[in-house]
Amino acid sequence: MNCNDHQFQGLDPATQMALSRRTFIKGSAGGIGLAALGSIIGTPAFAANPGLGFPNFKPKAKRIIYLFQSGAPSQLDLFDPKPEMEKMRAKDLPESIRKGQRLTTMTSGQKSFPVAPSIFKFKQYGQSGAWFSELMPHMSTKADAWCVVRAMHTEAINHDPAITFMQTGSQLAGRPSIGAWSAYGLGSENADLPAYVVMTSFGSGRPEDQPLYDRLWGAGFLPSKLQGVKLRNKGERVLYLKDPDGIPREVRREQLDELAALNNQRHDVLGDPEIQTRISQYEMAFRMQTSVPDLLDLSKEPQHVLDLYGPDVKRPGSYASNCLLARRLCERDVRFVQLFHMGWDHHVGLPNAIKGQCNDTDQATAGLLTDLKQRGLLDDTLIVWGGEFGRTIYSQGTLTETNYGRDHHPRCFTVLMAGAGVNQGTTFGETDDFSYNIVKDGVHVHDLNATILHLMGVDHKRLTYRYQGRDFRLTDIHGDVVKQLLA
Amino acid sequence: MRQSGDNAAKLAWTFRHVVRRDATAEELSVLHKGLEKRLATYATDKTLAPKLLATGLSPAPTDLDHDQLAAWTATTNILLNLDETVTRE
Repeated sequence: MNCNDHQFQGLDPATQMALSRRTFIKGSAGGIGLAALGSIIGTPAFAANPGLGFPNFKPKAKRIIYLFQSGAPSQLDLFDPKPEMEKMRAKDLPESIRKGQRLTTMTSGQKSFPVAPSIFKFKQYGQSGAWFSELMPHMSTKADAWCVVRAMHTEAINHDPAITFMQTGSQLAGRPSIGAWSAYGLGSENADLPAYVVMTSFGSGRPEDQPLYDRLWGAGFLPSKLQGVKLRNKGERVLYLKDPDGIPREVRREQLDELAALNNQRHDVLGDPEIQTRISQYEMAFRMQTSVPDLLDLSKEPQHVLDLYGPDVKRPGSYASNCLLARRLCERDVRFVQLFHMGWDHHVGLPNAIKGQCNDTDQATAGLLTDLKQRGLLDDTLIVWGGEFGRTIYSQGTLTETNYGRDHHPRCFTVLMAGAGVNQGTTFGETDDFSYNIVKDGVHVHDLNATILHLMGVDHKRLTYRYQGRDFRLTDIHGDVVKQLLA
Repeated sequence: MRQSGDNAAKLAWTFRHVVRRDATAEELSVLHKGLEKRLATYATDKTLAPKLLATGLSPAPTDLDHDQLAAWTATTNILLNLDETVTRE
């Protein structure tokens, strides 16, 4: 049996091997094939992809916690101070800065583009002197842990394409997400939990916005067992963990064994890799019936640890409680943990709304860093904090002394990194006086993703997957590892 | 359970009605062995069947043996969760 047979295309090498062996046994000894089932079912969900050769070099980060701030936080009110803008207050954004660049239709019809200086006070913190606004009283205490990437830029100008671009390297839906790519290349360290776990939370800044789609953590054309598994933020985190009344554990095991046997028989006929995904996901669900209650049991978390994350940690589904769970997932060696905190889209009423967002996230984010550090996990865990684009210096809608809004701005925004292998206590990149264009050291989304993969020991140019006749990458045909962000 | 014939014949009938094709001998063998195991399990522990049958909106029929009904329920559950059943290719 040749592994390159068309029916095996699109499978990872480990599955191809298991498959061809299985087909061989069945073909040569008719019926004994069933005995080989154990060799597929007994394998941890995707323990390794030995044929792929990842990591390419020794990784700095064994795992990542990606704190996605969905809706696009204002770099102008948090990380990128422009005090001289007070002199420009309410004056029209000069054409020499705007340069006729694309605006969203939410402000392109405005008669003027009045400059709205941030009303929040900035200070430098720590040895590094990194700038933070007063909205981040906790994250600023970690100034020397953060690498502030101040000249990020993206190609998308609206939320969904922009988040899709950050996640998959393409604005169009359908490519694998960065977590799925990581799980594909690096496999899982814990057979009892998914390699890619996602948690979402609603923000108090804009409680109804913005919607997220499950495809943002999807596997695209990679085997779908690699997609992110989302823990719910309302009610039970994972539904149906308990077996139904009257189905003892042994019966559940029998059912799954028989399901796998029947599904495998069908797979022999069709060769559809998605059948293997279903089998492995049923098995994962069975193991999660034990591993998830243990993960979610916070009863042994001491008060001083809960206090790190702030009072919101007690509210299930909050960003703070998601941060605590992220730490617990890290302790269990889950490869890729991604949080999405919604509500950063402040077109109007920004000052009030952003206070709510920072109240949701500031203490918990800093607490997570402290907690990880105390446990020695920050040395091999990468932290990323950021949204999908930035916000405009000019006010959307009416500008007053105390109120303004900001529209989407893809040409510059700030992302923070911390933890494993990161050049801590540095600020990289510069924007112009209006935080409108990049002056120095721009970092494109593909560069950031290449750098993240690099920290995880993966050469982004070698992490490819052939689909419909073309080798695809997370970074498409772009991306440079940004050496200045590395320790 | 009310179909005529032995358990193998009943399983074949059930498979055909759920999956819309005839089961192979291999498939029937897996199901049959499993059913026999569960018939024994639910006959041995009489506390299980009442718990299982209390679930759901329709009341359990009174003219069928409840231990056997539970064993059949746990077996047909497998058919309803087959990749082939839940996915239209």
